[in-house]
Amino acid sequence: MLKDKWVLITGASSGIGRESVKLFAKNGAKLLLLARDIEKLQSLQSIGIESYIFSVDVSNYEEVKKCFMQIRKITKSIDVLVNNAGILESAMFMMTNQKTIQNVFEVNTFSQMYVSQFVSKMMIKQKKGSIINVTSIMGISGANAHTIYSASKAAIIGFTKSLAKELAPIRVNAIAPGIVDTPLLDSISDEKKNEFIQKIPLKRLALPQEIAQSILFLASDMSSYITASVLEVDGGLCSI
Amino acid sequence: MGISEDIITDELKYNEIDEWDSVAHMTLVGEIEDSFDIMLDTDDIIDMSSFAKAKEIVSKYLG
Repeated sequence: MLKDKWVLITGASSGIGRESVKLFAKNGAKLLLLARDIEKLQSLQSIGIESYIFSVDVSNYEEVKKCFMQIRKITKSIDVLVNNAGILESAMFMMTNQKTIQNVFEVNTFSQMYVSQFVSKMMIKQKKGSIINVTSIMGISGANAHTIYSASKAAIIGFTKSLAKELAPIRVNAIAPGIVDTPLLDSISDEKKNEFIQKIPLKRLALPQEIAQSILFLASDMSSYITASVLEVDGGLCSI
Repeated sequence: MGISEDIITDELKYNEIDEWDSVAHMTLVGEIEDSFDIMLDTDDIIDMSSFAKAKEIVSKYLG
């Protein structure tokens, strides 16, 4: 589906990012993988996934810039960007300090803007490409004790819709996963997880692979007339 | 950008002709980066308001 297309994935070392890497590799993509943990990226290579890997903190503009100077030596074109890097922050709003607010926005929101800016320059020249920003249903519906996280993801929706208008014919979409069974959920108790599951019409958590499949759809020509959209992949949770 | 070489002078300014609009500006930035193997800072992309200024900025990276 993506034979010989250059695909850049951030937050590629675990969870949705890691599953996307595996699925995109199966579909013939040439991969540029970014994450902070280089060993986890190397472990993807060790299971046979051919890729260029970069240890980078995407919330740090200078690091992103240096990374793209290296990427430009490998390829002058990028066909697909998956802005996936993110952190989950669970805390009551009044118990969230300024440093945490700053950090959540730097990782979840500003990083997507930084990486998109560098990739956009390449895509504008090509006059084509697909950008997929990973947001969350919490950015749509909000969530108790996830105020800052929800706000950081809501910002991504506005960013996506505006960027799609600005960059057309380059397609820009967001994917809003529901509750996904990834390491990000480790900070949530089993009791809380079960509480969530009971609210989901499909009565289960999403598998990271199911989110990756939706990302692949938005990356491929299967979604050639879709832009400025937010695809909810949440087992029906947001419809309640 | 599809501009005739005849009109490319130091005085040629961004947004002064239809061919050099904001979209073309980003295409130009991409071409400059590829041609000179440099990566322009966002502030320089914003400052690149004329052909003369573009030459000055690119020189800075090559110097």
